[in-house]
Order: sequence, then C-alpha cells, then structure tokens
Amino acid sequence: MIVHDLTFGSIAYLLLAARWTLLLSAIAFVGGAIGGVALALARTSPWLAARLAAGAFIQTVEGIPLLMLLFLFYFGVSLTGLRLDAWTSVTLALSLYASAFLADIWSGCIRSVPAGQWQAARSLALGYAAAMRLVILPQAVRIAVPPTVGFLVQLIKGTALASMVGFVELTRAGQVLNNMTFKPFVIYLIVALIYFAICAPLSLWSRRLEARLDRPHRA
Amino acid sequence: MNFSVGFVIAHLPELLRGAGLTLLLAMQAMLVGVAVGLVGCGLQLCAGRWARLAVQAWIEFTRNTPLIVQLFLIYFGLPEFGLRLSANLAALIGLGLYLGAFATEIFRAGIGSVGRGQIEAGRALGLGGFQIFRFVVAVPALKAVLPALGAQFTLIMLATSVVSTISADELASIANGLQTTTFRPFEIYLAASLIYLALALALRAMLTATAGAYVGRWRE
Repeated sequence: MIVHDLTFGSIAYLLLAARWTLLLSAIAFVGGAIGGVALALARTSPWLAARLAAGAFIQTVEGIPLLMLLFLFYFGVSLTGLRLDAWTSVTLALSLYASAFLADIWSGCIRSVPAGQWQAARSLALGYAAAMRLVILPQAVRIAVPPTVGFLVQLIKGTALASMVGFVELTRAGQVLNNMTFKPFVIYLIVALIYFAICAPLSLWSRRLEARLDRPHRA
Repeated sequence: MNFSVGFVIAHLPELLRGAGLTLLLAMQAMLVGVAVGLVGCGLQLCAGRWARLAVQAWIEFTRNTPLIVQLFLIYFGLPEFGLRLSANLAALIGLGLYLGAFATEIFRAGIGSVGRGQIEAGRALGLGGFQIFRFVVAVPALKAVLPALGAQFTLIMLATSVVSTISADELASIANGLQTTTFRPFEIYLAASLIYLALALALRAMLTATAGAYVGRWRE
C-alpha cells in the first residue's frame, strides 16, 4: 500500500470538497424553507386538523436522529424500486429535517406576534390571508432572522453526516484523504477548521442580530 | 418492494438492547456535559483573562464544528499522540464535551439573567456571599436555564446515534450490524428510528413534567 504525504494539494482537495458542503447546505436550506413556510402556516392556521397534522409531523421529524433520516431515505428509496443517486436521497432527507426545525422556529415567531395585532387587523376588515401577509408576517420575520441563521449553522454541521451514505463532501473528503495518508489528527483538524470558517461568522451574525432585536425591548 | 414486519419483530430484542445502551450513554453524556458546563461557567465567571479566552475559544470551536468531526479527532486523531481510547470512552468524552460547550453558554446566560438589583437587594437584606449565590442567583438561574437545558438533553440523546460512526455501542450501531448481516436496511432503520422517536418523546415529557414540578415548587 502506498502512503502519500500530506501536501498543499491535500488541503486544496479539502477546500474543493467544502464546495459540496456549501451547495448541499444551500439546497437543503431552500428545500427546508419551502416546506418550513407551509408547515409553519399550517401549524398556526385557524383549522384544528391542519394544526394537529403539522405539529405531529414536526414532532416526529425532530424526534428522529438526522443520521437515521439519511439512512431511511437512502435505503427506502431503493426499496420502492426507484433508482436515485446519493445526491437526491441526501438532499431530500436534509430538506425534510430542515423543514421540521424551520417550521418549529417560524411558527413560534408567528405566535409571538401579540394577539392585539390580529384583533386590530381583523377589526380593519382584513381577511385571514391579508392579515397574515400584511400585519403578522412582517413582524414575525423580524424576530425570525436570528434563530434561522442559528439553525443554518446546525444544518451545515448536519451535512457532515451525509458522508455516512457515501456522499463526498468535506467530511468524506477528510476520510478519503486519511485513508491515503494516515494523518488523522491533522486532516480532521483542517476539516474542523474549514467548518469553523464557514459556521463561526454565521453564529456571530446570528448573535449580533439577536442583540439588536433585544435593545428596543429593554429601553 | 418487499417489506417484512415479522423480520423486525424477530430482531426486536437486539434493537431494544440497543435502546438501553443509547439511554445509558445519553444519561452519562448528560452528567458529564452538565459537569463540564458547570466548570466552564465557573471558569468564565471567576478565572483570569487567559483562562476565560481559552474557554471561549473551546466553546466556539465545539459549537461551530460537526460532532462527527470532533469524534474523529478524539478517536482517530488522539492515538497519534499515544492516547488510544476505546470507542465507547471516546464517544462519551466527545458527547460530554459537545454538550458541555452548549451547557456552559446556557448556565452563563442563566446567571446573567439575574439582575444586578437582585444581588444588591440581597446584600441590603444582610445576606452573605454564599447565601446570595444560593438563594438569589442559583435558584432563579436554574429556573431560567431548565427549558434550554432540557432541549439540549433531547438533542444530545438523538446525537448519540452519531457515535455509531466510530462503532461505539448503541442503537444505531446495532442497527448497522443487523443491516450488514441481514440485508434488510430499511426495516431495521425504520424500527430504530421509531425507537429513537419514542425515547425522544418520553424524555421530553419527563423533562417538561420535572421542570414544571420544580418551577412550581420554587414559586411558592
């Protein structure tokens, strides 16, 4: 067996693999946002059945480890006879995961808008859709940004688990490189630092936004 | 498509043993995590500037990198320095430090939530330093952190599945083992997922009930 040395080429290989981590996170976030909006609206809707169904869905997905969701999609899809590549099953699983957590965050933000706003909107003869769109959502979005950015960090870290179904992103690239060079500590430290470089600015941004939101309430 | 329920039932005892191992590991990780969090929080409040910076750097590193990479660093990386840990010990250390970083932040926020005026009021009443910490700071702070800490407990219980990647003993590992010997991955992982879901719901219900009971008692 040939043992390779760790070179600048290896670091470039890891940095290039980080593109797939970013792309995967972006797709999962967009997919999760679409599902999350629908679920958040269902969970805060006036119809009991929609509220219960959305709540049950969110609780179920949040109660199953992401690793299991990835395996379920990866192996479940082949059970139905459909042939999907790792890309499709991984993006589906991550989108489902993101949609449940985002729906949980966003429905909380919608509910945190004071009830008086609803009553004021209804007394102005706005219908449910108009009140939601013109009065509630603009206020909810303001509160929603910091925790959403915070969840994005959780999602980016979550994409590391896609390596377990053979999807080549940053973590998987680290494993491949380790198999060639047998320098696990340095390699995984570099991998960790690349994740850190992606996630730390987002965490900081989320904290700043939260601090800014807090200020007017304290004054 | 062939889906077999009987197959899952036949292997249920092994999966339930895995659930027991997962619960055990999660409980240990919670204990280690809370202990690490208390020490971290204590250092941040009392230690010198460099120690505080070091703790903050460790927290930021832990919170902004994936758990799986941290586990790889501990399990595969440390032996390079002659520190060879068993998979189970590496898993416990990894999970404990991971939870500990989040717990440190939660505890610090809890203590920060106690207003200055409260402490001054305690002093005005003639309470000593320890009494102020015990009655004015610790109890309200604990009350404030319980929901956030409970949420982290549930997350860490689910995160124990990640330690299957370094083949530590728990439910996901046992599911992996069954999967490779029986070639029925979907049934196995579906059953494992449902067990995790049951554990998560039970844990959440238990935490809510406990928090409710304690907060209720303190209010009186």
